[in-house]
Amino acid sequence: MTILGDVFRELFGMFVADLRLTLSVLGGVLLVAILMNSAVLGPVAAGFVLALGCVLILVETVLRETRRGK
Amino acid sequence: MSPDFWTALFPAVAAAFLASLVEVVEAFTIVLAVGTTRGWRPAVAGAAAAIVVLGLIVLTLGPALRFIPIRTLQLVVGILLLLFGTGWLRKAVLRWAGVIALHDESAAYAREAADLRSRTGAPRTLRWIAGIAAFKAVLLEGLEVAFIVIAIGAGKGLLWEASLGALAACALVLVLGAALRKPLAQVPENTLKFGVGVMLSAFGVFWTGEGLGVRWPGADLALLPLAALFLLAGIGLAHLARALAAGRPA
Repeated sequence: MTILGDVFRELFGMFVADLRLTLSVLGGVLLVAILMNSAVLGPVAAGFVLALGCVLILVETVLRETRRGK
Repeated sequence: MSPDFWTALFPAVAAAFLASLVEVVEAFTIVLAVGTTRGWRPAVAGAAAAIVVLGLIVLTLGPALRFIPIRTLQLVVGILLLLFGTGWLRKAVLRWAGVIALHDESAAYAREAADLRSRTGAPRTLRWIAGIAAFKAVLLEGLEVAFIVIAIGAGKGLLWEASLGALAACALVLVLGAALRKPLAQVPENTLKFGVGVMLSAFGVFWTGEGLGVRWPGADLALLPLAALFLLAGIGLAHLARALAAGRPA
Protein backbone atom coordinates (compact mmCIF):
# COMPACT_ATOMS: atom_id res chain seq x y z
CA MET A 1 0.00 0.00 0.00
CA THR A 2 2.91 2.34 0.71
CA ILE A 3 4.24 1.86 -2.83
CA LEU A 4 0.79 2.52 -4.30
CA GLY A 5 0.44 5.64 -2.14
CA ASP A 6 3.89 6.81 -3.29
CA VAL A 7 2.89 6.20 -6.93
CA PHE A 8 -0.23 8.36 -6.55
CA ARG A 9 1.75 11.06 -4.73
CA GLU A 10 4.33 11.02 -7.55
CA LEU A 11 1.62 11.26 -10.22
CA PHE A 12 -0.06 14.14 -8.37
CA GLY A 13 3.27 15.93 -7.92
CA MET A 14 4.03 15.59 -11.65
CA PHE A 15 1.18 17.90 -12.57
CA VAL A 16 0.71 19.91 -9.38
CA ALA A 17 4.25 21.00 -8.54
CA ASP A 18 2.75 24.37 -7.59
CA LEU A 19 -1.02 24.50 -7.06
CA ARG A 20 -1.32 28.11 -8.20
CA LEU A 21 0.63 27.41 -11.39
CA THR A 22 -1.58 24.41 -12.16
CA LEU A 23 -4.82 26.27 -11.49
CA SER A 24 -3.66 29.32 -13.47
CA VAL A 25 -2.72 27.20 -16.51
CA LEU A 26 -6.05 25.34 -16.37
CA GLY A 27 -7.91 28.65 -15.97
CA GLY A 28 -5.98 30.16 -18.89
CA VAL A 29 -6.82 27.24 -21.19
CA LEU A 30 -10.49 27.43 -20.14
CA LEU A 31 -10.55 31.19 -20.80
CA VAL A 32 -9.06 30.76 -24.30
CA ALA A 33 -11.63 28.02 -25.03
CA ILE A 34 -14.50 30.28 -23.92
CA LEU A 35 -13.17 33.26 -25.93
CA MET A 36 -12.80 31.04 -29.00
CA ASN A 37 -16.30 29.59 -28.66
CA SER A 38 -17.82 33.06 -28.27
CA ALA A 39 -15.89 34.19 -31.39
CA VAL A 40 -13.99 36.88 -29.45
CA LEU A 41 -10.73 35.20 -30.49
CA GLY A 42 -10.06 33.82 -33.96
CA PRO A 43 -8.22 30.48 -34.42
CA VAL A 44 -4.86 32.20 -35.06
CA ALA A 45 -5.14 34.88 -32.34
CA ALA A 46 -6.13 32.22 -29.80
CA GLY A 47 -2.76 30.49 -30.33
CA PHE A 48 -0.85 33.69 -29.58
CA VAL A 49 -2.98 34.40 -26.49
CA LEU A 50 -2.51 30.84 -25.23
CA ALA A 51 1.28 30.91 -25.67
CA LEU A 52 1.78 34.37 -24.18
CA GLY A 53 -0.65 33.62 -21.36
CA CYS A 54 1.33 30.52 -20.36
CA VAL A 55 4.59 32.46 -20.37
CA LEU A 56 3.04 35.22 -18.22
CA ILE A 57 1.72 32.63 -15.74
CA LEU A 58 5.22 31.12 -15.52
CA VAL A 59 6.76 34.56 -14.95
CA GLU A 60 4.26 35.40 -12.19
CA THR A 61 4.81 32.02 -10.46
CA VAL A 62 8.62 32.26 -10.47
CA LEU A 63 8.72 35.90 -9.35
CA ARG A 64 6.19 35.27 -6.57
CA GLU A 65 8.21 32.32 -5.25
CA THR A 66 11.46 34.26 -5.57
CA ARG A 67 10.08 37.15 -3.49
CA ARG A 68 8.67 34.73 -0.93
CA GLY A 69 11.90 32.74 -0.69
CA LYS A 70 14.20 35.76 -0.40
CA MET B 1 15.18 13.36 -44.55
CA SER B 2 11.46 13.43 -43.77
CA PRO B 3 9.95 16.96 -43.85
CA ASP B 4 8.69 16.67 -40.26
CA PHE B 5 12.03 15.40 -38.90
CA TRP B 6 12.87 18.69 -37.17
CA THR B 7 9.33 19.50 -36.05
CA ALA B 8 8.08 16.09 -34.92
CA LEU B 9 10.58 13.21 -34.78
CA PHE B 10 13.67 15.00 -33.49
CA PRO B 11 11.96 17.03 -30.71
CA ALA B 12 9.96 13.99 -29.57
CA VAL B 13 12.99 11.66 -29.37
CA ALA B 14 15.22 14.40 -27.89
CA ALA B 15 12.65 15.28 -25.19
CA ALA B 16 12.20 11.61 -24.28
CA PHE B 17 15.99 11.05 -24.22
CA LEU B 18 16.83 14.13 -22.12
CA ALA B 19 13.93 13.72 -19.67
CA SER B 20 14.85 10.07 -19.23
CA LEU B 21 18.47 11.00 -18.62
CA VAL B 22 17.41 13.21 -15.67
CA GLU B 23 15.18 10.54 -14.14
CA VAL B 24 17.42 7.54 -14.83
CA VAL B 25 20.39 9.26 -13.18
CA GLU B 26 18.27 9.74 -10.03
CA ALA B 27 17.05 6.14 -10.10
CA PHE B 28 20.60 4.87 -10.73
CA THR B 29 21.83 6.65 -7.58
CA ILE B 30 19.38 4.68 -5.42
CA VAL B 31 20.05 1.38 -7.21
CA LEU B 32 23.79 1.99 -6.75
CA ALA B 33 23.26 2.65 -3.03
CA VAL B 34 21.27 -0.59 -2.75
CA GLY B 35 23.88 -2.56 -4.72
CA THR B 36 26.89 -1.34 -2.78
CA THR B 37 25.15 -1.64 0.62
CA ARG B 38 23.14 -4.88 0.33
CA GLY B 39 24.52 -6.60 -2.78
CA TRP B 40 23.73 -6.44 -6.49
CA ARG B 41 21.16 -9.25 -6.58
CA PRO B 42 18.33 -7.33 -4.82
CA ALA B 43 19.36 -4.12 -6.62
CA VAL B 44 19.16 -5.66 -10.10
CA ALA B 45 16.03 -7.71 -9.29
CA GLY B 46 14.15 -4.67 -7.91
CA ALA B 47 15.19 -2.45 -10.82
CA ALA B 48 14.32 -5.12 -13.41
CA ALA B 49 10.87 -5.70 -11.87
CA ALA B 50 10.13 -1.96 -11.99
CA ILE B 51 11.29 -1.75 -15.65
CA VAL B 52 8.88 -4.59 -16.51
CA VAL B 53 5.98 -2.75 -14.77
CA LEU B 54 6.87 0.50 -16.58
CA GLY B 55 7.11 -1.33 -19.91
CA LEU B 56 3.66 -2.83 -19.35
CA ILE B 57 2.24 0.63 -18.55
CA VAL B 58 3.66 2.08 -21.80
CA LEU B 59 2.63 -0.93 -23.91
CA THR B 60 -0.91 -0.94 -22.47
CA LEU B 61 -1.70 2.77 -22.28
CA GLY B 62 0.13 3.86 -25.43
CA PRO B 63 -1.84 1.84 -28.02
CA ALA B 64 -5.10 2.26 -26.00
CA LEU B 65 -4.93 6.03 -26.57
CA ARG B 66 -5.57 5.44 -30.30
CA PHE B 67 -9.24 4.81 -29.45
CA ILE B 68 -9.69 8.34 -28.06
CA PRO B 69 -10.80 10.99 -30.62
CA ILE B 70 -7.71 12.90 -31.78
CA ARG B 71 -8.93 16.38 -30.73
CA THR B 72 -9.78 15.18 -27.21
CA LEU B 73 -6.47 13.34 -26.98
CA GLN B 74 -4.50 16.39 -28.13
CA LEU B 75 -6.30 18.63 -25.64
CA VAL B 76 -5.81 16.29 -22.64
CA VAL B 77 -2.21 15.37 -23.49
CA GLY B 78 -1.44 19.00 -24.34
CA ILE B 79 -2.72 20.27 -20.98
CA LEU B 80 -0.84 17.54 -19.08
CA LEU B 81 2.39 18.29 -21.00
CA LEU B 82 1.89 22.00 -20.35
CA LEU B 83 1.48 21.42 -16.60
CA PHE B 84 4.45 19.04 -16.51
CA GLY B 85 6.69 21.21 -18.72
CA THR B 86 6.01 24.51 -16.94
CA GLY B 87 6.47 22.67 -13.63
CA TRP B 88 9.98 21.53 -14.65
CA LEU B 89 10.81 24.95 -16.11
CA ARG B 90 9.70 26.67 -12.88
CA LYS B 91 11.81 24.32 -10.75
CA ALA B 92 14.89 24.66 -12.99
CA VAL B 93 14.66 28.48 -12.99
CA LEU B 94 14.19 28.63 -9.19
CA ARG B 95 17.17 26.28 -8.70
CA TRP B 96 19.37 28.30 -11.06
CA ALA B 97 18.39 31.49 -9.21
CA GLY B 98 19.33 29.87 -5.90
CA VAL B 99 15.79 30.13 -4.49
CA ILE B 100 15.59 26.35 -4.02
CA ALA B 101 18.49 23.94 -3.58
CA LEU B 102 20.01 22.02 -6.49
CA HIS B 103 19.49 18.26 -6.55
CA ASP B 104 22.60 16.57 -5.13
CA GLU B 105 23.18 12.98 -6.32
CA SER B 106 26.03 12.36 -3.85
CA ALA B 107 23.83 13.46 -0.93
CA ALA B 108 20.94 11.30 -2.19
CA TYR B 109 23.32 8.31 -2.42
CA ALA B 110 24.63 8.89 1.10
CA ARG B 111 21.09 9.23 2.51
CA GLU B 112 19.86 6.02 0.90
CA ALA B 113 22.97 4.03 1.88
CA ALA B 114 22.72 5.29 5.49
CA ASP B 115 19.01 4.37 5.60
CA LEU B 116 19.72 0.84 4.35
CA ARG B 117 22.61 0.35 6.80
CA SER B 118 20.48 1.50 9.74
CA ARG B 119 17.95 -1.31 9.18
CA THR B 120 18.28 -4.51 11.18
CA GLY B 121 16.88 -8.01 10.71
CA ALA B 122 17.57 -11.34 9.07
CA PRO B 123 19.76 -11.18 5.90
CA ARG B 124 16.84 -12.37 3.77
CA THR B 125 14.57 -9.59 5.14
CA LEU B 126 17.27 -6.98 4.55
CA ARG B 127 17.68 -8.16 0.95
CA TRP B 128 13.92 -7.86 0.44
CA ILE B 129 13.92 -4.32 1.86
CA ALA B 130 16.83 -3.43 -0.44
CA GLY B 131 15.09 -4.93 -3.47
CA ILE B 132 11.89 -3.00 -2.71
CA ALA B 133 13.91 0.22 -2.33
CA ALA B 134 15.41 -0.33 -5.81
CA PHE B 135 11.99 -1.26 -7.24
CA LYS B 136 10.35 1.84 -5.78
CA ALA B 137 13.09 4.21 -6.94
CA VAL B 138 13.03 2.94 -10.53
CA LEU B 139 9.21 2.81 -10.60
CA LEU B 140 8.70 6.34 -9.24
CA GLU B 141 11.42 7.98 -11.36
CA GLY B 142 10.30 5.93 -14.37
CA LEU B 143 6.68 7.08 -14.09
CA GLU B 144 7.67 10.52 -15.37
CA VAL B 145 9.58 8.90 -18.23
CA ALA B 146 6.58 6.68 -19.04
CA PHE B 147 4.28 9.70 -19.06
CA ILE B 148 6.56 11.67 -21.39
CA VAL B 149 6.99 8.71 -23.75
CA ILE B 150 3.23 8.05 -23.85
CA ALA B 151 2.25 11.73 -24.14
CA ILE B 152 4.76 12.53 -26.89
CA GLY B 153 4.14 9.22 -28.63
CA ALA B 154 0.37 9.61 -28.55
CA GLY B 155 0.33 13.11 -30.03
CA LYS B 156 2.15 12.20 -33.24
CA GLY B 157 2.14 8.38 -33.30
CA LEU B 158 5.78 8.25 -32.23
CA LEU B 159 5.49 5.81 -29.32
CA TRP B 160 8.30 3.51 -30.50
CA GLU B 161 10.60 6.37 -31.41
CA ALA B 162 10.05 8.10 -28.03
CA SER B 163 10.55 4.74 -26.26
CA LEU B 164 13.85 4.27 -28.09
CA GLY B 165 14.94 7.74 -26.94
CA ALA B 166 14.17 6.75 -23.32
CA LEU B 167 15.93 3.38 -23.69
CA ALA B 168 19.00 5.08 -25.14
CA ALA B 169 19.17 7.28 -22.01
CA CYS B 170 18.90 4.15 -19.80
CA ALA B 171 21.72 2.46 -21.74
CA LEU B 172 23.95 5.54 -21.51
CA VAL B 173 23.46 5.88 -17.74
CA LEU B 174 24.06 2.15 -17.21
CA VAL B 175 27.29 2.20 -19.24
CA LEU B 176 28.58 5.34 -17.48
CA GLY B 177 27.43 4.09 -14.07
CA ALA B 178 29.02 0.66 -14.54
CA ALA B 179 32.29 2.30 -15.56
CA LEU B 180 32.38 4.88 -12.75
CA ARG B 181 30.69 2.89 -9.92
CA LYS B 182 29.64 6.12 -8.19
CA PRO B 183 26.68 8.55 -8.37
CA LEU B 184 26.62 10.50 -11.66
CA ALA B 185 26.83 13.83 -9.84
CA GLN B 186 28.53 15.55 -12.80
CA VAL B 187 25.46 15.26 -15.03
CA PRO B 188 24.08 18.82 -15.46
CA GLU B 189 20.68 17.82 -14.07
CA ASN B 190 19.27 21.33 -13.81
CA THR B 191 20.30 22.34 -17.33
CA LEU B 192 18.70 19.16 -18.69
CA LYS B 193 15.56 19.85 -16.66
CA PHE B 194 15.45 23.39 -18.07
CA GLY B 195 15.81 22.14 -21.65
CA VAL B 196 13.16 19.46 -21.25
CA GLY B 197 10.85 21.98 -19.53
CA VAL B 198 11.21 24.27 -22.56
CA MET B 199 10.46 21.46 -25.03
CA LEU B 200 7.51 20.02 -23.12
CA SER B 201 5.97 23.46 -22.53
CA ALA B 202 6.19 24.13 -26.29
CA PHE B 203 4.65 20.72 -27.08
CA GLY B 204 1.98 21.39 -24.45
CA VAL B 205 0.94 24.77 -25.85
CA PHE B 206 0.98 23.40 -29.41
CA TRP B 207 -1.22 20.37 -28.71
CA THR B 208 -3.53 22.21 -26.32
CA GLY B 209 -4.04 24.71 -29.13
CA GLU B 210 -4.64 21.93 -31.67
CA GLY B 211 -7.21 20.39 -29.34
CA LEU B 212 -8.98 23.73 -28.95
CA GLY B 213 -9.04 24.30 -32.71
CA VAL B 214 -6.21 26.85 -32.93
CA ARG B 215 -4.77 27.34 -36.44
CA TRP B 216 -1.00 27.57 -35.98
CA PRO B 217 0.79 29.58 -38.68
CA GLY B 218 3.19 27.18 -40.41
CA ALA B 219 1.44 24.13 -38.88
CA ASP B 220 4.02 21.89 -37.12
CA LEU B 221 6.75 24.49 -37.72
CA ALA B 222 5.04 26.64 -35.06
CA LEU B 223 6.72 24.34 -32.48
CA LEU B 224 10.06 26.05 -33.16
CA PRO B 225 9.00 29.64 -32.31
CA LEU B 226 7.03 28.29 -29.34
CA ALA B 227 10.17 26.56 -28.04
CA ALA B 228 12.18 29.75 -28.67
CA LEU B 229 9.58 31.77 -26.73
CA PHE B 230 9.83 29.49 -23.67
CA LEU B 231 13.63 29.33 -23.97
CA LEU B 232 14.04 33.12 -24.03
CA ALA B 233 11.42 33.61 -21.30
CA GLY B 234 13.15 30.98 -19.14
CA ILE B 235 16.62 32.50 -19.57
CA GLY B 236 15.35 36.04 -18.91
CA LEU B 237 13.33 34.86 -15.94
CA ALA B 238 16.31 32.99 -14.46
CA HIS B 239 18.46 36.17 -14.58
CA LEU B 240 15.62 38.27 -13.13
CA ALA B 241 14.94 35.78 -10.33
CA ARG B 242 18.66 35.50 -9.52
CA ALA B 243 18.99 39.28 -9.26
CA LEU B 244 15.87 39.47 -7.09
CA ALA B 245 17.04 36.62 -4.85
CA ALA B 246 20.41 38.33 -4.40
CA GLY B 247 18.64 41.53 -3.38
CA ARG B 248 19.96 43.47 -6.35
CA PRO B 249 17.67 45.64 -8.48
CA ALA B 250 16.57 43.46 -11.44
